[in-house]
Amino acid sequence: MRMRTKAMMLAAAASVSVVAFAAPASASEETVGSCLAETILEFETDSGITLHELEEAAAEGDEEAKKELETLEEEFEACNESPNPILPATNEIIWGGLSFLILLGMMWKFAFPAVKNGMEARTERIRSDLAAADQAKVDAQAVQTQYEAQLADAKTEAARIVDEARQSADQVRTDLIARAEAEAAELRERANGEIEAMRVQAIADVQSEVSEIAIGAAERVVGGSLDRDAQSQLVEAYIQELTSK
Amino acid sequence: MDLLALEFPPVSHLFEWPDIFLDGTVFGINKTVLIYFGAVAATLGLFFGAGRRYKQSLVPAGMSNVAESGVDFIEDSVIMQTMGPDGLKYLPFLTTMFFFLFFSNITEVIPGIQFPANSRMAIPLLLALLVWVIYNVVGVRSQGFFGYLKNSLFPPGVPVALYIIVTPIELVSTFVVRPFSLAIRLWANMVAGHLLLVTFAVLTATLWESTYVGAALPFAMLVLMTGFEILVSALQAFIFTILTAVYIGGSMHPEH
Amino acid sequence: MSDTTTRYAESLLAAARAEGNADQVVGELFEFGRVLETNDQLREALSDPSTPIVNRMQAVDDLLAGQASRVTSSLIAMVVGVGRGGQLGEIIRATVELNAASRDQRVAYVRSAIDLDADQQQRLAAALRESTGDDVEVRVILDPSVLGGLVTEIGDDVIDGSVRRRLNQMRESLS
Repeated sequence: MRMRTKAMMLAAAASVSVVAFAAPASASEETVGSCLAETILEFETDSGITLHELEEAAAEGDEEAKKELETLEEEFEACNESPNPILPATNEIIWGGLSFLILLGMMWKFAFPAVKNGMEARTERIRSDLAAADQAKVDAQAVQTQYEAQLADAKTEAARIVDEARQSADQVRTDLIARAEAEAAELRERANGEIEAMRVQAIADVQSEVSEIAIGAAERVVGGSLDRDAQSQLVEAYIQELTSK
Repeated sequence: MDLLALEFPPVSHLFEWPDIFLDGTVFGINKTVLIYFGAVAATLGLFFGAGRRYKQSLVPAGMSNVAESGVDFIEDSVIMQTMGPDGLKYLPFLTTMFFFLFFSNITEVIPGIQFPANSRMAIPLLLALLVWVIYNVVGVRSQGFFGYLKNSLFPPGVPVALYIIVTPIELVSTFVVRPFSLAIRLWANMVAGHLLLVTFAVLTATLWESTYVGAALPFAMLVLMTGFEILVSALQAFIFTILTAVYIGGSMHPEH
Repeated sequence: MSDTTTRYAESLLAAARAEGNADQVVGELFEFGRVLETNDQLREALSDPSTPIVNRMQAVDDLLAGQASRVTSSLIAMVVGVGRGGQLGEIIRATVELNAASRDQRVAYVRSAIDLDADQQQRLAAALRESTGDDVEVRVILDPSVLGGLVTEIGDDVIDGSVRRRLNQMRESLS
């Protein structure tokens, strides 16, 4: 910033100096009047006569004076005529050419590349920024796509879990019902078996009771009916049997 | 010189300036030369200032905007329109030429200076001759000496019989008239502009002395002409530059 | 029959023979064994370690006084006195069989609901000898549960001709 201000001040100073030097230039020494005066003075000094005397002599018919006056008038004309403005002044050609060449050199070598490089750097920056923005957009879209996919996955997963839960609940219900039925059947079966066993047992008990009663009765009958003789006969029969074997 | 009782300065006083330094030598420095220096300083200041700005920020502002607009303008509206991408290597040259011409023209309306340096023949003629050298060298380089001559003197697509007329015209116009027309166009425009402004300024000043009211019309014209000359300054710089581009482009691509 | 039992049986038999009335003593021992077999209380009293040995021997004396010979009584008291009251039944049985074996006889334990007279016993012995081929000494055991008929045991052989057996067969066929 400071450098730029300096450059601007330099330019301003240059402009001011141009103006300052230009101002006295308007008071040019080369006016038409001074040219005429100088010409007349030069003539009068050289010839020793005044312009008026020469005009009088020419009016009296002096051929030489007439010729002299013509020459003088031509010089006056030249005074009135400025140099052809289309012809370039030597000093301006030299300085103008130098100025342009130096400017061209400085521009080509330093100033122009500085600006051009800056512009290109900006263009490149904008291009890379846009590319980065595009890339960021692509990335964001990729991330979004990924999120959406994950969301869809999560939904599918949730649906699957719910489905599984429902299925397992169904399974558990079915299992419970089946087990309950099986247990009921088993209980029924076992009850039937127990009833049967009890029936068989009861029958056996009854039979054993009956036989016990019968045998008990038989014992009492036999015991009571076996007198000494019968006993002896039984002993004899035993001995007989042993012998007969 | 009494015209309508006006004190009009001699024409030579409007364009020829006495030397301030090195008076009487070939290195005499007068107002015109100082304006050249000023134009150099302005152009360099503009571009160095712009270039320095980029070190702080790539966002264009102030001077860099002006410089960039100029570069873009030369690139898009001058080179691409006349030479195509091949001409981009002339961008620094044409940019320099444009700004130098513009700055040495615009002094015409800057208060205190009020003189267009290019109303002196030196720079217009020098640059025109430089352009003449460049486009001829380019022509010989890109087409060969005889190819360049042939394409220049016998433009293709012209009936053979017409070459009797066309060839002398082309010879004169391409190799002789071109640089002078280029130089004189710029020079004459600036001379005419300067004369116009001086005329209305003198008229205003004189009428102000006699009748205050009478100065109003020439003063209005002076203001109008000042605005017009700003336009002319830029326009002539542009025309000089684009004609340069056209000439060089023609030498590079004879088919155009 | 363990070695201890056999040794006690041998010593009892030797003591009885030394006294000269072995068969009587053996008979009395057998009778005591019968009582011991049927009387659980007696058996427990004689083998009860909490009762002092002197008291147990005194019980034997009291029990057998006037019922058996002094020799028999002393022998039983001796067995009880050495603390073999619990094996007394086995020792007596071994003694009986050892005595029989000394005459080349086997002991036939005959259970009967009634007493058998000598004639019956002799005929039974003869019939058993004929049936088994061995000379046997018949020892009758009164057992009312037999109801009628006889049950003879010779070693491991059992010849059951009792009414009880018939009734048992009947019961089995009924149930």
